[in-house]
Amino acid sequence: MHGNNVKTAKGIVRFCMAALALVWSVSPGHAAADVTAADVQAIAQTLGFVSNLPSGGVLNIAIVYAQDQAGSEARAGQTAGLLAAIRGPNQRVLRGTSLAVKDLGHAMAAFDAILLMPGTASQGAVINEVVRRRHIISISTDPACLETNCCVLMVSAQGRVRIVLDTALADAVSAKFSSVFAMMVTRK
Amino acid sequence: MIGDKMQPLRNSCLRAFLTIAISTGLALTGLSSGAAYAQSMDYGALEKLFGEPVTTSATGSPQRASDVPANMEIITAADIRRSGADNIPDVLQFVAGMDFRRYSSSQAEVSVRGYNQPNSPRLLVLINGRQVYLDDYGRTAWQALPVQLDEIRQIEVVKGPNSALFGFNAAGGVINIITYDPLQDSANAVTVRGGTQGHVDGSVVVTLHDGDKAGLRLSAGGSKSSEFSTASLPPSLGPYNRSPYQYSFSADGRLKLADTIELTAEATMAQSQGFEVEVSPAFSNSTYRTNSFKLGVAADTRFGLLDVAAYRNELTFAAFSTGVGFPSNNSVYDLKANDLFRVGEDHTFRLGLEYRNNAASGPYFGGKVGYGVFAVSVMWDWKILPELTLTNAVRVDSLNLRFAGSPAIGSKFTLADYNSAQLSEPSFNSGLVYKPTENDTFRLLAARGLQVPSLINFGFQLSSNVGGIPLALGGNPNLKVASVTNYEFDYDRLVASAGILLRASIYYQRTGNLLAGAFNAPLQFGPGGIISYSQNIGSSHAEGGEISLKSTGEAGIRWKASYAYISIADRLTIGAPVGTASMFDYKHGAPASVVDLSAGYSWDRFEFDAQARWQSHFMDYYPIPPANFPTPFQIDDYVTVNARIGYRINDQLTLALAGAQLGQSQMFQAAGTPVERRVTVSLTAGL
Repeated sequence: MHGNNVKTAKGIVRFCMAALALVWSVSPGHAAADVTAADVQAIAQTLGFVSNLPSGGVLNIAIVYAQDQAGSEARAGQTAGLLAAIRGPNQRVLRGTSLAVKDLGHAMAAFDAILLMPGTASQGAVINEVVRRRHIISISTDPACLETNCCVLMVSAQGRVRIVLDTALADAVSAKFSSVFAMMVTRK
Repeated sequence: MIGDKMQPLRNSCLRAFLTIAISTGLALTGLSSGAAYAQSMDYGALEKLFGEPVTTSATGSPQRASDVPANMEIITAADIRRSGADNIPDVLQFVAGMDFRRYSSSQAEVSVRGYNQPNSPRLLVLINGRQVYLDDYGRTAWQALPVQLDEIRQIEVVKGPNSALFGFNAAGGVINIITYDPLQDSANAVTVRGGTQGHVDGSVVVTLHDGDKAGLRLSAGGSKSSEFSTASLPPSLGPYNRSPYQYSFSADGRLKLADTIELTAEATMAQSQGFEVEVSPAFSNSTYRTNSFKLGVAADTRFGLLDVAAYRNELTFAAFSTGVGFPSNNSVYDLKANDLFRVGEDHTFRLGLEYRNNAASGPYFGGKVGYGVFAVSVMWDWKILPELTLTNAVRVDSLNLRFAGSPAIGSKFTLADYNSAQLSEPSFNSGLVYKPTENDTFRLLAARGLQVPSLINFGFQLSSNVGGIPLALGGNPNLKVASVTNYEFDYDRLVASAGILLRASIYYQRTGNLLAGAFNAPLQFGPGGIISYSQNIGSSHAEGGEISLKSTGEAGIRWKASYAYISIADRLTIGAPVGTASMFDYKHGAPASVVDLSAGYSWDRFEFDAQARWQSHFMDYYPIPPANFPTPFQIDDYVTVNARIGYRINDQLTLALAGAQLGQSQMFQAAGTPVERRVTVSLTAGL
């Protein structure tokens, strides 16, 4: 019986080695630059942990794009479509409206949050000024937004979900989060 | 007597708690952080956000399962449903590294990484953080847990010691059963099930809400069946209970006192009866009745997340073995307070205080024996780099033993020995977690966990005689705490593109001051007669590892394959008694190799799932009449296969056909009754 066990164990070790080889032979996928349905879903979930958003009704989200980049408006429109297809926290309706960075300054009153499309970080100074002045929470899937201090939250669901909170900007725009959420995200 | 002495203390504790709870609620209103959401963990929303289960069972801090500085597996509600199991141990048996023994239809014993035995003492089991581990014998009566499978959100399995968070008895591992939150979740389900062995069970779970301010979840359930065949058991040690049953009830309520303050109240009861094997080993017909009451306040304040909770557990237990009754009562009061807060961007701290008062009484305790434990704990989580986190947790438990009664005639210990006995023991958990990429995680873990002697080990008192020679079986107030030191290296790799998660771990574990009860310790002969008393009997060490591969997606075929290996060596300081017993033979008491395989597929309205476990042989022990000396009983290698087919009739109704141990009509999985093939049909209505 012990001899059989040794043989069995050797077989299992071979199986484990083969399994390891299989796992390492598969390379990880590459992240895409566009805002995906998974990103939008994660952003919608994240809004449920922002405690100073209006408590009921439709959540209006400005989808901000860089007007100087070709196709950016169309991609913002696609993202608005993704937003409209899902529900936000507590089954709230999400309404996305495309907006160029240049129009940010005079259109913010109607929005509860802004979603910065990839590419807008290059105009971070403008965005930073607006979100601070309007006290509005900004979210982006583009890590570059953290470098230019224009997003309160960076949320990316391409691969493993990553959330980074810019605490200084959050304080500046008076954004508040549930403490449990704040403990689970990376802080800048 | 001891009850009289303790009464003022209990009243003081209760008064203190109520005062603290109410004043905390009022005071915390002034300390509110301004956050406007409930501060209990919203497991559902967080899991949906992060795409993986979340937990607090590793450090006390909310964390994603893939971030915890511990070797943890989380069994989800979907896993439980697809297993087809009608009890928790049958779900746990397919987790890599779990040691599983089924002694009878109603009794199963579970441990992490070997060291299993009847009345498994090293695995701390909790429901929503409330200990359901029984301190009298040091064990978990799985059949008497007041929880229905339909109300469980997830079962968190921590492999390795975690006493720095949970205290005594989180020595080999922890299982924290997390139910749906009555405030955040709407769990409503009715299940009826019937099958072979005359099995019938049913459960109801209902959640009531008052807006988003209050929630109450009520659950009730029960089962009965015929015991597996007892034909192999010695008739002279019977009769054996052949009609096990259990029923339970639970009420769990949450109330938002303010936007940032939440009150929790919980009450449960459970009763069970059936045939089981006790630790010595001995065959018995046992009855459990448990009650519990819990009250807590959680608040988000400018000083962090504060959590104050108190609970009382009550157990009435009776074991009848060869016509002799062993009735006992055990009550526990527990009061604890924690504060979890961040300092700067990279440091999270958790400060904890806990007081625990425990007492057991009954004829074989010679009165009432108990202890008070005061514990202080600190956890520090330091994010050194975005990809590198160091977590350290330290806890010190100080125990004062109390005894009011009479030591067994012939006992070598006096009342004064008991009432002056003190223990003070540190425990720690350290974990370095390195994530060089988002798909790779390395964990380097070190921990010291503690197994406190059970109340029966401290305070058992029995005077008798053998052929006219006086015999004293006694507890021992001078027992040392058994300590489990664990060093471990883990590696996880997620291959997102292929939907595969690899998990591997290797560990070395040393247990010092192994414990053996009076029934098992060697007999000593002296001028006053024969004496046997609980003792620390030496040390043991184990090396082993686990490796698993599993699919991560819900679509297509879901599968998992795992292998666990363990090697144990015992170094006893005393000679093992005649026939020995599980606690003298950990070396042979665990299967060296275990392979678990599972696969499933969802197609339209159908779910098909199957799980298989192969394990190598191990040694258990069996009482042989007339003297009931334990005798070795080898459990041969075996394969067990469980399967389930579920059919979703509509959005509310699911019909399922499930089978357990389909490969053989009966076989021994432990030195109890042979486990039989079982088939059940269930209908679940979920709303």
